[in-house]
Amino acid sequence: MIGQVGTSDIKVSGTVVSVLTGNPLAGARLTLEGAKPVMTEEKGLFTLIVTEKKISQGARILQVSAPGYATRKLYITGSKNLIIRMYEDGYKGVEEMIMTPFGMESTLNSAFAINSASPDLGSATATTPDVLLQGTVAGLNAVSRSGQVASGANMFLQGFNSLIATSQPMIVVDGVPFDNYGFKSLISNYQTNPLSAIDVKDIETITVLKDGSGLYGGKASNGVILINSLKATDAATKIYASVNTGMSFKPMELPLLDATRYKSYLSDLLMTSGKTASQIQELPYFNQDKPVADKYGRYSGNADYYRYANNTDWQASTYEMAKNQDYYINIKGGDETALYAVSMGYLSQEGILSNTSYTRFNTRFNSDINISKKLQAHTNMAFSYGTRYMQNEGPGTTSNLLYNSFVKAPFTSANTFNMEGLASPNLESADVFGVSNVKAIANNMVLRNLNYRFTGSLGFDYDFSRNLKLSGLFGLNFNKDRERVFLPAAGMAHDTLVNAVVTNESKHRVERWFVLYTDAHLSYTKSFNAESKLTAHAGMRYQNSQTENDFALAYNSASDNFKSIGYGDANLRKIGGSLGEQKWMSFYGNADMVFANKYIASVILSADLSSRYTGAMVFPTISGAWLLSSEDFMRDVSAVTFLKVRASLGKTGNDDIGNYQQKKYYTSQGLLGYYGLVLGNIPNSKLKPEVTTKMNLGVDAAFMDDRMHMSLDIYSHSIQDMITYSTAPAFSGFTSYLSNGGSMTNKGIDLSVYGRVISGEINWDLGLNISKYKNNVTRLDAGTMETVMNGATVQTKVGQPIGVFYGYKTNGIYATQAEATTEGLYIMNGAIQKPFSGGDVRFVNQNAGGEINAADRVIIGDPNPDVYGAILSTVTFNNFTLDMKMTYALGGDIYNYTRDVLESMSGYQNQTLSVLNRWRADGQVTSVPKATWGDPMGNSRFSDRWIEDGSYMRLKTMTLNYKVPMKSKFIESINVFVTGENLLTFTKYKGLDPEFSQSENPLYYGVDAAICPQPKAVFLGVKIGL
Amino acid sequence: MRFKNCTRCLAIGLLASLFAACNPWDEHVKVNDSNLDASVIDVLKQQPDLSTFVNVLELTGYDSVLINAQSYTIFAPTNAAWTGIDMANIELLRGYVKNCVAFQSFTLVSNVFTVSKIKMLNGKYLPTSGSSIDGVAVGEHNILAANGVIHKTASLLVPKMNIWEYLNQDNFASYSQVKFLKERTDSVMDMELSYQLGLDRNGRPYYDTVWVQRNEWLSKYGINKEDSSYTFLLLDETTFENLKQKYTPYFTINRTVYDPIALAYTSEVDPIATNLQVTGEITKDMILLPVTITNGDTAVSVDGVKIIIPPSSIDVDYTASNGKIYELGNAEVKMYNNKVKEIFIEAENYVGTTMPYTTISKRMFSWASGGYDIVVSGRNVVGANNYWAYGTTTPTYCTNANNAALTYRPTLNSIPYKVYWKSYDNLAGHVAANLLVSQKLFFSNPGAPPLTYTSSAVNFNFSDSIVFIGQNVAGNNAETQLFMWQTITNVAATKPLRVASTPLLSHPDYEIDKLPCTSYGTASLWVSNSALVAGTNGGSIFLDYIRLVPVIDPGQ
Repeated sequence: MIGQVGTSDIKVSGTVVSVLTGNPLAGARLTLEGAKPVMTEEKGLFTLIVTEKKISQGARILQVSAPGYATRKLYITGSKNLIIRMYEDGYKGVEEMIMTPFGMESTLNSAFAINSASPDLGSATATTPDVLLQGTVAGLNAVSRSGQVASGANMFLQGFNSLIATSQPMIVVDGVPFDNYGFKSLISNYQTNPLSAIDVKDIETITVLKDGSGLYGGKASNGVILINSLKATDAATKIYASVNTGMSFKPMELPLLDATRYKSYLSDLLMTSGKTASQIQELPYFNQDKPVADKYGRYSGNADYYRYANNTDWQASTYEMAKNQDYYINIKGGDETALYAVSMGYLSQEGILSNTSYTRFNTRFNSDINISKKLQAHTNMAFSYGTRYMQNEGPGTTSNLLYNSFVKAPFTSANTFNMEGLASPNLESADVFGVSNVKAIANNMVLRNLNYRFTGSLGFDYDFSRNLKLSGLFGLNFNKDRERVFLPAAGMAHDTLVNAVVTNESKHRVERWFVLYTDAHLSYTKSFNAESKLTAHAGMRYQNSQTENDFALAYNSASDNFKSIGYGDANLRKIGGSLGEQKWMSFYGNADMVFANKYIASVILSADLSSRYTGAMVFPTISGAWLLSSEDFMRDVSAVTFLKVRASLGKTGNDDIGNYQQKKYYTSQGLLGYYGLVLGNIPNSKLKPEVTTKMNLGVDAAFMDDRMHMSLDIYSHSIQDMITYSTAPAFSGFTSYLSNGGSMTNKGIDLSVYGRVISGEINWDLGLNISKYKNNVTRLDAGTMETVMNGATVQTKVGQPIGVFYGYKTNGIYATQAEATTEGLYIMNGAIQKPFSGGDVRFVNQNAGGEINAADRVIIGDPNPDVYGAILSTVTFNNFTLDMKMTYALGGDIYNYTRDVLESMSGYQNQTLSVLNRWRADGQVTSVPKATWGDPMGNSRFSDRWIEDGSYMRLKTMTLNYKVPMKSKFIESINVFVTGENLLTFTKYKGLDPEFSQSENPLYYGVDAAICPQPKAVFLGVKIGL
Repeated sequence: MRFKNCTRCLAIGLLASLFAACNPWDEHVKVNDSNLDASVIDVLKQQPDLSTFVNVLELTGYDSVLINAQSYTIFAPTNAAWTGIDMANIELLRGYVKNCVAFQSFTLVSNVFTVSKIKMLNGKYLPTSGSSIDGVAVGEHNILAANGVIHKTASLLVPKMNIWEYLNQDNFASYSQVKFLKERTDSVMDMELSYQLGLDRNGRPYYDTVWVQRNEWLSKYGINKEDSSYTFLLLDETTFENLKQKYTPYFTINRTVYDPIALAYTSEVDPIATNLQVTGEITKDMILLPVTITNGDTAVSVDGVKIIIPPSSIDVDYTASNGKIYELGNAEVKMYNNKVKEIFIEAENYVGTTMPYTTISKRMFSWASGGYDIVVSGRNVVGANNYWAYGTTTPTYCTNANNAALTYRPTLNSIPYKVYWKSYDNLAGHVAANLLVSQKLFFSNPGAPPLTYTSSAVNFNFSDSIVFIGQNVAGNNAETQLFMWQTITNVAATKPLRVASTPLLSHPDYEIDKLPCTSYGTASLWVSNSALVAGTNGGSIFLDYIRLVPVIDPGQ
């Protein structure tokens, strides 16, 4: 209790001390509502006297600030003699100032789970902000898509909230929604990453709204990420420049068979294909008959001897050491009328996959203009231009670099040989097994993506009075992706067309987005007394987004030198495209009420209208928080510095239901050279957005004078009207249609703890984020859903999480024929029983009868991690700072498609060294089944043999920064840093990398198919502030 | 102090974690048994009871072969098996090694081989049975190596000769069968390997010729090939001579010689050709499918000739790598209905005709032999059905000018044959008219010029006025025997060739019911239509089959 009725003034006194030195801090400034601000004297002592006459209840905020130290806010509940410990600048205390949709606010009096992700943006070597977010916010599972340059990350905030609609959080950049969905690229497994248009160093703040995102109504059920770009805060000119350069290293190669071992394996395998020993010996790659010339120069013997007498490590031509460089400068400044911030960046990165790179040029101009005392305007403009050369990823195709480098026979060669065994510079064509020449893919294939993005916005604020303000924003977002793909004839195998044999392929594609956005709202602020305050907003926004997608495919140009679609065979050319438009309008409002600095209540309401569905959707949210630390009874609990409990309940939506699914539309279809329009869907006029009801309970607390603080959130999401595919009646001609046929719950817990472990000459701050979620399907009108993803069958069923691995359980292999006969299991081949024999996999029979069939499948893995998060550590010593970020995900299963292919022992694909252990003779005890051509018994079917523990812990980044002591007045600071990325990974996973994300669709979670691993990289950089 | 401790902890922790971060593949790809990543030669070396074999492999140079990127099956003889083998004879050792190493891995499942024979490096196929290979039991087996599998044997797998290698031994050099087969070897030019050096002045190419040996008999009967399998009967010279005597009457070949005194061509026996033919016939009849025979058996040659093996006539039997050889002191071959058989010719298998093919109809009937018979129209009236219609008006027969004929070329033995055919005229008009179908058979002996046709007559070399005729009344579906008829010659424009009104009752040189074939070889037969009476027109030909029955003593 601050006020005391009719008695003397309240006196708050104490000492301000530095945590670093333990010494009293002179010159610290203290402010308290109702008291005159004071400064500490020599010994750090201060006294504040509140002379207010008014009577009030609750706590008041004491703010302490000192140069070089982080500002602290304390809730004061009465006369007290305090010892206030001050931490140096940059210390992450319980209070953070975060950007909310309506401006900067303190986390202390928020009733929602809102986190600032404020990593050290300056020395970040991440190319895109999504990767940077990894591990910084508890509950945000940002998983890097691939190790290819700038491929970004898929972000799953607090588990999965949708099955087939988007699971990605909404992204708002400088107040304007940013598209956060990729389009279907010509490049397999590639998702355009809109965030790659943002230079990490341009970002001032990132805020993650886990709940309380209801303002964004029907687009907010996956949470919202607010990004604000750089902004000048005062008129003094400041220049910041940074340069960094680095190297990415080749990853470890998979242990595959060399040519000798492969030949032995292959000859064993071919014996099971019905070929006789003699036929096998006569195959050109087994025939050891060297070509011999007679006196007339005619050769006899095996003409292909030298073609197949090689031992090529194909993986070696897949990877390259990659060089990276990044240059950046920004200038902030201005005068009383206008402030500006300008930046420019240039980035050039090479990828560890051959012939991949990313070059980006980006520039930004932000300004704040005081037009009059009451009217301020601000503009944001950014342009980025990126060129990306890539390689295909994902499951096996003839143009997939990694896949082909794994499966290609090691006895083949990249270059042709003559009969004397001399290599030529000419590239070999696709080999006898139809596998492309890896070197041709690596060097001559073109997969290019050009991305231009312009974002611009103009906003204004008009102050009607101290309490009432009108804000407006008009924004434009324009993005264009141009793709060009060329698959050369030389060295590459091609898929055939219906009516032609393909020699080479040229593909172009253009995707265009154009988004207009307007937003206007009134803000009302009213302080009732020093401890109580009301803030309210009411507004309206409108967004119109248009997409256009055009593509052309051409085949068989006269030579590999003609790479444009215009050169292709006119008869084989294909063109296509689509247009899309969406309009979204929303009326929204909120009110935040703080009473006595103890009780906080918030209300949010938004009403959405959209061209995607009919009718209005209303999304209300309420929340409340109680600051226990402001209560009298907590006054003497000195260990607890701050304690807040919060609870919220709200509704949000997910309107990613397709622009036209509610309406009937037609698509073109060709038949025998004639084209016509056919119905494209079964319209579902009742289709509406998914509705997610979120309940969140949270605790924010700080202990021991803010030396340690934590935040805990327990949430429960209930997703109603979840979009699913429903089975269409057979007479409709469709197999399925979209409907709101599902429900799901998604529950979880996020905990973050941060604190100073060691203080003094050396400071060690340690943070821990730990999250867990569990989703559970509660309704699926269409029944159990089985989806095949790159050979993995994932099941979605009521009563279990979405997308669990559903396959066969195995129990070793039959060591002897007798064992197999005794067990008597078989598969059906038509009407014929085919019994398992010695060396086959022993599948677990789940039911009566000896047949192993689809009914014997069970859940064999859950790709969702048990826990995930990060460990953050900062150690400072003198001018050195060592930052470490370890990310981890434990307990998730991964389907290792690559290993499935490389250990299935059924075809010409090269295999891993484990096949040396394959069953070859009766009685041989081993865990690897026998090699059988074509795998007639299905030994390599989707089973627990390919499910692996995907737990990992990774030293994601480690930065050692040295702050050069400066005495120059001209130069403010110079920092030199060394950063290592992905230097250490602890995992038992045998794939290329346990961290990957093939798709933003949760059904793909944990399905790994030849995706480029995250490279180890080392960067050296300098940051200069002027 | 505190700081120092801390850095030390940190350093140790980091180092420990570096080691902990070892490759997750290491455990997964570790071989269960180091042999699985070792070559067969390395695995052989680990076995103390195979040291001699390893030594042999090293002596013969095969140790450097068995490390290749292949898959091998090795039947490794244990040390005791080598007792008494001359280790200095590298060629011999190499022979043993080649006979106990095979490409590809063949393992035993439940102590039994899963394949019936295995091809060894020397190309020979060794048969398996249970857990034995070529009669040698396999001991410890399924010893795996990276490039193959090893089975131990207690004795050597001795390489066997194939039939041809056996016959080429010196002691058989004088045997007629062996001599005959050897003499069938020719040198021929290998067009692929020969190099054309240029063109001579006449524009003909000339070559640096590569000659290759070719033996058509061995190409046909692959007794020298490891992947084929035969039983070969090797006759001693007495037996062979006996059989020769027996065969000769049936395989006599005539030749035509010019008699300068008589100033004419005459036919006489060609002894050389006959001898060659007979030797070949016997040799061929002694090649059997791979069977085991015993004394008293009747064996069947690949051509279906039965050979009687009299009791106690097998002198030696040898199991070769590609079959069996029996040396016989006696063998009998019946001629009757065995070596010399009835010849049955389906009418539809004619090899030539003098008529346009539009006039020939292959008719499908259930009663017909082989399902078909043949009708050749006598008329040349173009138009629907006219070829086959029988009318009261006299049609224009094309055969007014030409004999219609179908040609057959059977191989006949040098003995007389009785001739039968079925000629069934079932045309309704003919049947109603009780038409007599009278067809001629012209014949030309093997070795003599085949039958030819000129604008005026048929040239046939056989006693040029005699033909065989079979008569049948339309509507009678029955076989007819053919008899000799006399042609009426020297009548101008009597085409088709007319014959006397009745068959011959006898002939001074021939039996009137037999085709008097005097030479072995390909005869020439024509079936022709006929006009019985001068001035009348030739008719159609109806033919289902021809049957040539050799006139031979059943005791032969």
